[in-house]
Amino acid sequence: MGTERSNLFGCRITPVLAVATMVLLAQACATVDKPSPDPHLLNFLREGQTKREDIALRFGPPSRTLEQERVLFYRLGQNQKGYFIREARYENWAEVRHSLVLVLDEQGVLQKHSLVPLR
Amino acid sequence: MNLNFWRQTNWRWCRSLALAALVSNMTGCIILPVPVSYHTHGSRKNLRSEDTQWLVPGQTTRAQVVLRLGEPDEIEDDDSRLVYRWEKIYLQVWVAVGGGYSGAAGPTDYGRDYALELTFDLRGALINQALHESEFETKATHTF
Repeated sequence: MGTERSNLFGCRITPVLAVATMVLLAQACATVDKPSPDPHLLNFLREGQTKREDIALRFGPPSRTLEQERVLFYRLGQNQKGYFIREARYENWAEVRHSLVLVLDEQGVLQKHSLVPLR
Repeated sequence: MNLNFWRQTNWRWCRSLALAALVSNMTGCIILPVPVSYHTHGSRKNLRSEDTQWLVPGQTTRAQVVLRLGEPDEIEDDDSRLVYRWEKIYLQVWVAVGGGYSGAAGPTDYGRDYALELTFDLRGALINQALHESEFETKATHTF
């Protein structure tokens, strides 16, 4: 009786554990590339004030640069909650809503910027 | 008179037969061309071939170009050449073929690849612009 009971318990608990583990692993996979949208992501950009270091700290490495890194490009996505930085690993523009262009002066201070809608 | 009558009858008969054969072959086939105008899924949508009048050689700078058009699709190592690419579908041709209890249908998309190529001098001023176009088609068939 005791053996039957433990077998029954074992039979039921194993698939439940397996499913729970798979769900946890799937959630971990799904959250790897989850963007964190911010409606105020671009608010810190001030022409004549914002420095290259501030931009790098906030946005990370740019997707591309021009003119010895005087011009920086960032790819932005956007949803109802705000903007988020898109990695440059995507080969096309399907997931990119805007191209953020930052032009710095010789001292590395933001001179001009524009948010170009691509979609 | 009699000979003419038979010649005319024969010609009419042949014509009707040819038409009947053609119609009977076409009954299971529908071809529908639909003019469309949209960008492909992965294409950028902020460029049109007619929107390049503001580019003035000798005056427009590289910075002005990127501030207006965004990140280019290609950049030459020395920044002397930028390329912007986009794709548009202009025609869909739907073909449906049926026979017995099965059939196949699907659209063929006819599109155009555009590449706006801009070259700059050492000061970063626009030297030349060229718009290249090429045709492509993509087919999707579904059987049932």
